[in-house]
Amino acid sequence: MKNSIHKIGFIFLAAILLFANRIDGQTNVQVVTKTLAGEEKWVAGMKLEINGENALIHCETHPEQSILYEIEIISKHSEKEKAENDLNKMKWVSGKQGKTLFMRNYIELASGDTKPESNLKVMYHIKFPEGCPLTINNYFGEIKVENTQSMLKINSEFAGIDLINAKGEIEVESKFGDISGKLLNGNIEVTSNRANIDFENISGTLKILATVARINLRSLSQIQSLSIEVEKSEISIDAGNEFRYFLDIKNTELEKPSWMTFDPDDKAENIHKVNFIKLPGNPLIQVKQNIGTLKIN
Amino acid sequence: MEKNRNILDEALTHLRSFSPKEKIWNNLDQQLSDTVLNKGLSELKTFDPPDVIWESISMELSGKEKLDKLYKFDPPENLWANIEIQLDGRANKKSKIETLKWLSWAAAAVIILAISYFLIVPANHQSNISYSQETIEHVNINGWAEDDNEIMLVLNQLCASNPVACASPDFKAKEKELNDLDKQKKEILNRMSAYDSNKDLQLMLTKIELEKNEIVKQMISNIM
Repeated sequence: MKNSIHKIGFIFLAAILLFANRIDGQTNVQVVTKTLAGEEKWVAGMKLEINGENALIHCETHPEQSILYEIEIISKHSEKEKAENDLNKMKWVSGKQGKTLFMRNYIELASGDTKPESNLKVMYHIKFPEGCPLTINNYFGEIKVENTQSMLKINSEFAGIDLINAKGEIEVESKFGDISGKLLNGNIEVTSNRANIDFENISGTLKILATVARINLRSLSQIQSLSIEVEKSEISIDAGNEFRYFLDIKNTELEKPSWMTFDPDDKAENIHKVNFIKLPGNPLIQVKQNIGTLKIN
Repeated sequence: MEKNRNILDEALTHLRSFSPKEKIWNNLDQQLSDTVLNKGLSELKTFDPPDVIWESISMELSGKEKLDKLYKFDPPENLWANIEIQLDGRANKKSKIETLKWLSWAAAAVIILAISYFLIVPANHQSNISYSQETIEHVNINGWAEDDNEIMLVLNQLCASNPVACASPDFKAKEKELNDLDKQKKEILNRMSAYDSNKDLQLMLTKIELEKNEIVKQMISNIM
């Protein structure tokens, strides 16, 4: 009996300690959310431009001839009053300027206002027609774009980018925000500064300029041309033997598959050509790299 | 009654008649008018004008004298032709000014139209506010900057022992890279919030820290 009491006491004490630890490691926060929703009629030639800050931007196409939007401004703080007060400091504006529908969020401080203490975020849920060109600029946060058919232009700083099923002219520039893409088809141009790139199922032409990045490219069988120019990066290309390869690599550790043999006419030490003689008309993969690793499968 | 009245009449008829010259009559006339004039003048009241009048009269007289003293010359023929051309030019200029006025109005209208094209027409939307509560993991933001000072201290000490190595272009380039990364790190730290998990930001910071480590190692090997 005494043993049992001791056991129960021990379990009780352990539970208290565990609970105390949980309280110490976690915080309760008050969440205030302001939701704004609206719809704009879309006509051919009309563009959409989003300028976000600390924004989670999710855009996808729909069959309607309209731009539908739902914006959530979220403020989190341990005190409800402060969360509410800070929520008003985050502004969201939208309006038409010529043929462009603009959306923008920013922090506005009135005279005497203090910097917001709360965690402020803005979530964009946008539905737009396939033919509508889209431009997104975001500073911190994240960007997700799905099923676009027209021009897509993204500029991100510290915001991750996720592209799914995008066609047409695609231009992406990112600093510190990792880029991932699936089912991309068109003229794709990516500029990355310390942003990793992970692409699969790519068709059309792809050009990558990168500094300090981990680049992973898979399922490239439909690609017409691939050009990569990088520095201090790790590249992995999974394309197969159906391409010509032109490798201009310096200070780079190359890992190549068994089927890959360099054409015999190579003159410069750092330049390697593959399949130029065997498959002269096949699409070209060019890699220009200084410092890093290059893995070809 | 006079008795020798006829005698006198006869004597008078025998007198020679004499007509004075015209000049004499004129002189007489003048003398008579001078007399009347002098008489009239003497009856006029006299008064002295104020000095200002005399001064202005003298100024006018001296001005006229100066003008008279100016050189006078006839301009050459082509001068008049040139003046005529210039006068025509002025007329053209006037018409140009008119044209410019119209153009400026037109430009203003275009600018107004352009501005109105670029004016943001606010979109209509509905809004509502909701409240909730959630529990999040407590994040120690300050932990990310703990080692920075120590690293800089070590590098400074090593540089004091080998200033030549630290002045090399390679070292300077790495130092710049390190400073750039620190700048990015500060930017991310400023964005971190005690009321968020900051998962993505912490991943970015991890990447920066790993890269910084590599650079610091290379800098140290340069010095040693």
